[in-house]
Amino acid sequence: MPEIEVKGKKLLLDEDGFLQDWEEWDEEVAKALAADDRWTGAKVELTDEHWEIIRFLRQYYEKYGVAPPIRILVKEVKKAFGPEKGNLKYLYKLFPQGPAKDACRIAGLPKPTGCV
Amino acid sequence: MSTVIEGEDTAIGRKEKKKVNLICSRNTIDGVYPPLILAINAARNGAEARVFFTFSGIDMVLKKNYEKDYRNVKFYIPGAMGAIPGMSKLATMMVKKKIESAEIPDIKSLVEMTRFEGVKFIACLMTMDMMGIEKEDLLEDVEVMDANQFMKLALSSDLNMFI
Repeated sequence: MPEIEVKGKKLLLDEDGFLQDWEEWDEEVAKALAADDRWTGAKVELTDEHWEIIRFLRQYYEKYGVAPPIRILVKEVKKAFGPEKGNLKYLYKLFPQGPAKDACRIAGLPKPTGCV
Repeated sequence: MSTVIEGEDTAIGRKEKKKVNLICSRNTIDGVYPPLILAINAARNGAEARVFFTFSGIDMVLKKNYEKDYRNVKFYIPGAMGAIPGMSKLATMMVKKKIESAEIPDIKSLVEMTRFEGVKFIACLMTMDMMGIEKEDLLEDVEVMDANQFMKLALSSDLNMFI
């Protein structure tokens, strides 16, 4: 089983690099997951814009118990932050490997279900 | 400070990316979703993914259809039911509603996602010649290949699927 070490602690990941236990997540873990390029082939440099989406995803998960599919993510980000952020182009710019899946991975959420 | 510990082998971890080609030959809802969704997932698994658009499938890489939100992409019921006038319009409406209620992206969003995720699009040269399509009619960055070029690519690839 793949692992990632953060602050001396080894955290278990699933086969696609998602944290096994979403409650083990904190900002240090997010930074480590963003720097882990084993699954996406590229590191993500976290900016304030990334953190905005990451925190939004955490809140969504706490509220609904599921990670949002891409269609819902775009809709909800639009509602929360306006149309200039609630669109595919903006979200893919932040998370080029797929905003629904890669953003959820960095946010420490379980792997979203569904094909896209 | 964090350290990445090597885990199991992943497609991404290989020196050379695996190559996956999907062939889209229809411009119907059921002809378009599968190759695009599979291509996205091939890319997410670290493969170099391409979709080859031929015959009616070429509609997907035409600028004019993208600009009109692919309203020409329909769903046809097979068999005698499909021959009833108005049936395809009704079936298309129903399938689109189901797609929406399942929170699956619409066709235009799916095409955009596919491209954002790095999937390459290829247009079939013979289809372009047959239908009088010029390179400037295609979406940006769509490559054009004839059958021989595509077959060379297919023979050097790891997975080819005709859907």
